[in-house]
Amino acid sequence: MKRSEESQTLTIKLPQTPRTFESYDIGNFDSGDRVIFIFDSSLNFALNAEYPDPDKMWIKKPAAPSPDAENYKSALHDLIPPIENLTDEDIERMTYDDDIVDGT
Amino acid sequence: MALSNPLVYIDTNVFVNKIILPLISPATITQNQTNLLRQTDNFLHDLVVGVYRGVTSTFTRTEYRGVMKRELSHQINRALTHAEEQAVLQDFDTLTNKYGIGISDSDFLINSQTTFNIFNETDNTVKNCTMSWTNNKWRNIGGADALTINLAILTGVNKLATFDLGFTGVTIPNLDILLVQNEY
Repeated sequence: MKRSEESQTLTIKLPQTPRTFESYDIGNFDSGDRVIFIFDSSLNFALNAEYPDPDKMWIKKPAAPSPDAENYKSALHDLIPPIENLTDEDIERMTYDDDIVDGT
Repeated sequence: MALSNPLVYIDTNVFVNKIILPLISPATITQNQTNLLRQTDNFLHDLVVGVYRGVTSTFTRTEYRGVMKRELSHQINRALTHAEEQAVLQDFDTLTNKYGIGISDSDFLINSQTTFNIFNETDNTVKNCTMSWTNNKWRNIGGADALTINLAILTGVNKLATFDLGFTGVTIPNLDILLVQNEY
């Protein structure tokens, strides 16, 4: 960790494959400090960092599933008739190599 | 932020399977389709019981939207109405809410990094992917798949869950590919 007094910038170089924010002592920040994380090659620290503002990184943060998650019912059920002719090949095209099959 | 269980990035095909397979008429559903739905449900059940925490991105939501528009229009032999397309997206949002799946903003992920050239890395990902011979086809990943991998890396996950057999040839440090049909 290196603090530049002139620029009020705190630079934190992380070791390889950091996994949890709690694992690293990043020191104390002053109000207005600019914090720079130097990520490892896989940028695994991105999710766990308190800075930059995680609220801007996530539209919706991971949360615990709701108790009735497995009772999920598609909204499409009420709008379209049952699908009669979806083939295994259709499923494979959708789920496996979609862009290759499409030639895109 | 305490992390007690591994994060898994969820690929488009998991959402597509969960939404579209239950729409198949019971009279015509095949054993393979039944198996795919069971595997999808079993994987998602692991989110409920806390084996994993799920994340995905707005890019995957975009892929889901495109696949569902095309396939549903093909199946019902007409273009989806606006209400039906809204229901497609509502399904995605409801599903992610119920299973506690976080959605990361792909634009933010990319723009917040100054040392990660995502499209160059995506090119490297395709270059380094080895071809695999699976189910009588040579398979690898496409550009959108490789972009998904690099977005997954940016979200900080440990695993990427997919049904895409092209991912068999992907080797990325610190990112395990979870082929749902093999694990469940």
